[in-house]
Amino acid sequence: MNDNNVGIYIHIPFCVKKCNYCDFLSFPVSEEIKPAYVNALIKEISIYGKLYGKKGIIRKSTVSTVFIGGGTPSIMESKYIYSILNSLMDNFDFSKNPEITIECNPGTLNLIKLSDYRNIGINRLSIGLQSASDSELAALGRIHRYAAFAQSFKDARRSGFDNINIDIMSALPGQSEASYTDTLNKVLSFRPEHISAYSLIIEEGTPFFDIYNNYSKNASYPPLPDEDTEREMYYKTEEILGSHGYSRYEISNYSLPGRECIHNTGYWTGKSYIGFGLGSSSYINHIRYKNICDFKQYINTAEDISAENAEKYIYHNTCIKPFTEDITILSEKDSISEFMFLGLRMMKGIKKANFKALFNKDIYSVYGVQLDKLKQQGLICDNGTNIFLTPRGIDVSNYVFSDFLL
Amino acid sequence: MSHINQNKIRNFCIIAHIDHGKSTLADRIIEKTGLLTSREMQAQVLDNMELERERGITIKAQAVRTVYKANDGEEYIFNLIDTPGHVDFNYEVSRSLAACDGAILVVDAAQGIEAQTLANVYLALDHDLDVIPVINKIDLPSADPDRVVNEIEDVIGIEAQDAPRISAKSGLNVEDVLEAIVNKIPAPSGDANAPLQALIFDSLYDSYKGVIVFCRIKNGTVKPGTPIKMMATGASATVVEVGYFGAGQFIPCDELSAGMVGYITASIKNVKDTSVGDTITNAQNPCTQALPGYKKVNPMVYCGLYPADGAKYPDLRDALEKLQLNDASLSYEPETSIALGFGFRCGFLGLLHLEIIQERLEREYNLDLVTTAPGVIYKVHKSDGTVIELTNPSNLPDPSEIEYMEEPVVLAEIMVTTEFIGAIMELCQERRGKYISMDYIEGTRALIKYELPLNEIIYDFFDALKSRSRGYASFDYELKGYEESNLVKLDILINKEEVDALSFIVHADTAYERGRKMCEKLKEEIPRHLFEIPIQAAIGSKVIARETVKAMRKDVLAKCYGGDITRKKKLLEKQKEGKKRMRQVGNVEIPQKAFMSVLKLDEN
Repeated sequence: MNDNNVGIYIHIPFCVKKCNYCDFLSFPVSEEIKPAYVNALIKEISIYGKLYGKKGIIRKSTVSTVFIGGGTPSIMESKYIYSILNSLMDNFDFSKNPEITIECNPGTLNLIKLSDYRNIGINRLSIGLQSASDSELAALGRIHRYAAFAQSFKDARRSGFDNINIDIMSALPGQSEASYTDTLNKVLSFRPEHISAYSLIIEEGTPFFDIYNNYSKNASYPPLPDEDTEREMYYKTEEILGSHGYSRYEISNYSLPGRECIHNTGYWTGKSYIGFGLGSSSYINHIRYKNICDFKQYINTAEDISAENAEKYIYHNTCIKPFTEDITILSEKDSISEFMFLGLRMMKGIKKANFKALFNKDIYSVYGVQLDKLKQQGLICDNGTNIFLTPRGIDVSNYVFSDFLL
Repeated sequence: MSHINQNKIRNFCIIAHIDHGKSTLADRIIEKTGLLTSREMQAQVLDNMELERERGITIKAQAVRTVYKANDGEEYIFNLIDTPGHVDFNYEVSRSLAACDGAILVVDAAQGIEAQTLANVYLALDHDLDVIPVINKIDLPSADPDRVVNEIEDVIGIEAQDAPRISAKSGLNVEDVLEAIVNKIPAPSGDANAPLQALIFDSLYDSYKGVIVFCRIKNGTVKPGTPIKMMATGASATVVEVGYFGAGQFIPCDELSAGMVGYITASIKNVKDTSVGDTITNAQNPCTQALPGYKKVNPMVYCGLYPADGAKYPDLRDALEKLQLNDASLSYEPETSIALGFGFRCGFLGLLHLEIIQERLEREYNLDLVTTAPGVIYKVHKSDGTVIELTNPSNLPDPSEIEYMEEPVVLAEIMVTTEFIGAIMELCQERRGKYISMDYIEGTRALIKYELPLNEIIYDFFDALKSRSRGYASFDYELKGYEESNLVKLDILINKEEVDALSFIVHADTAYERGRKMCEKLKEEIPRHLFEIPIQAAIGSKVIARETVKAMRKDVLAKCYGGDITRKKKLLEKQKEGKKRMRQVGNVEIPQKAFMSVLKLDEN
């Protein structure tokens, strides 16, 4: 666990237009905002670099993964992405050939941009298709249609990307089992290395929340699939993808052999990561950090840091304060709880020996009651070495996870 | 201050329909008599209970003493006792009235006489108090003081031509009220040298001083060191401190003598020793007879109160004991429920009273409570000739042992503008009401009288009344007696197990409808489990309604994005908290608020 590897997450909080279901930290911006944000990011990177980077005074870490997420990071011209990566490479050790992913959305991509991304070192793409049905895409408020995705995917392959994820969603307004199966089949025709299949969750604060919580007044919107249909779609996902050689390694993630997303797997397995940018999260040495979520405040914080006072921050070891708005120091109980509810998201579950090695306790001495109950309810399984969710346990994973909070 | 001439004391209260400006007038009187400067005035100084301020209603009777320099050049001591206006708190009103010699009747210049105006006036007249009418809110555009004066004379039958016409809000003509208090309310009569005779009209518990007794001295004198005896409970003690009521504080003084209103502390630790309505006398020189006290008011509405956390049962018991000291109309006795464990069956004057007590227990005593559906007292006549007073539906004997049952019936007076008469009568008919009479007042309003079963009005009658009259109807009721009725016990089965705390008594004609709605409501309240849960309503062994909570199919977290684990953990914690607030019945977890669902059956 305490190896020197670190994942890096870069948050790009911009998009062309906010989608109806989106509750992530992102918003449309004018062109002149972008360089200011990139400059702020670079300042943040350089300060953390002095702490955790190549010559880090706290620890010298090696980058295992980079994930540029959003928002829609591909809204950024390649020169900006280049500056960001360049600054990361200046500050951190990239010698171990890390997985470098950028999230992108059809409608913001073209062959030149993709080739640039490839040339500056990005080696993995995550493309947000969501659905192959144009009417479903329209209902979601997406800016692209299926044809644009098909073109983008071909361009990506032509640019040399050999590790591509496609995001799709089930339980969409107006979606039927047939249309979902069609989406799955179309996705398979591209033979991506990785597929993320999420079930739409209507989050508070999104337009969908208002529409579908008062549906009688909004009946012009397509209805959400009923529960049985929704579950059928969910089961279809594993069935169809499985029959095409994709194995499910996490609740919502499928890949061809050896093509699991290393970055996201890090989240589930307690690896360290540093997040840069607005509202991003970091996890280092049993401490979770959350960055400022207010855009202006983030930019102003960066502008207030000059070359001289940056040194001061570092030597007073208060450097995390300028960009951080929330710090949570995990107690042993917190760490144990997280180990369980994160680890169980992986299909292979958690290794009992790992629990023992990390916490110096037998897992049954901590969770005996819960584990016995959940086993009896048929939600988890203990095969002797690992404990993992059963198919029924996956369906109600929240229910299972909440039992493991101490 | 020890030698006060009785002629210079005025003990009075203010009575009014809710929202007619009683507390505002009290504030103004306190301000004008110079006890507080206007800068120190916090709106409604007498309503010092947090809950009272929030709800804008007066729950506890409060007392305050001020000094007024009248136009005749003399200084008068005013003991003002604030009273609640809501029908549920008639008992409190009655207690305050016993300590007074006169009452100011506040009537809204726009709304005129309302149902509670009448109820409170009748109470005051019962106590032989002089009632002085005051027309308030004359600065409202819709004010019509002449009409209201005529209403007071016609409906109540007291002279009102020279009633002060004021705005308590702006302070306009409040001096007229002060002069009327001096000139029209009689000074107390009583002999300061006679044996002590003091009426306890309220009390509260203080951790340092013990029980603080609020009393009106009818005869005699009491001071620190006086040995006292409570005539009904027989408890005796030695007075530690006497004093009077400042605004929100106790001000000690040398003695209290005949005609005065004040408090006594005597290191009384046992809250049961002082009962409101009892007479305090001098242990060494006792009076021959106790004061009449007042009629004990019997609770009309009962429900079960249980601590959400079973371990808090002793805390709930202590809290109820202390609250009862402060609110003699609350009654309670221990009971057990299979579903809810150990708790108390509590009696209240009405539903608002129940809500207030529940909130006070939760806020002031930091308790998390589960409340069962409120019910009334039924009289169960058994075939062997015995009669049971049933407060808990679970105790209903087997139907084969029951000859017949009776339920309490009230006489309700509803005052409403004529355009809503139809809607209100329809509502009363729906609630099994029996029409008695209707009288027109001033041509535009009517006083409708109905007999209604109490169990039809304890839930939401008042809300229904307000919504069907666009807020114009006012309402009061008094218990009339018991009548035979075709009643049945409705049981609720969750996952085939009867949940005793959800049973309730209902009229046979509405049982099916209520059972169906109850099942629908519980279906909404009970979260999905891993298995399917049938919810059934049954009378005896006959199931009359059924709903099903489907098994939980999906409960998955969305994308765990950008490594924001903390946010996801918070969601899981919320879910875990939710599990904690459940009651386990068999293998079903029932949320606490489901036990109150019967209250909301008529909501759409």
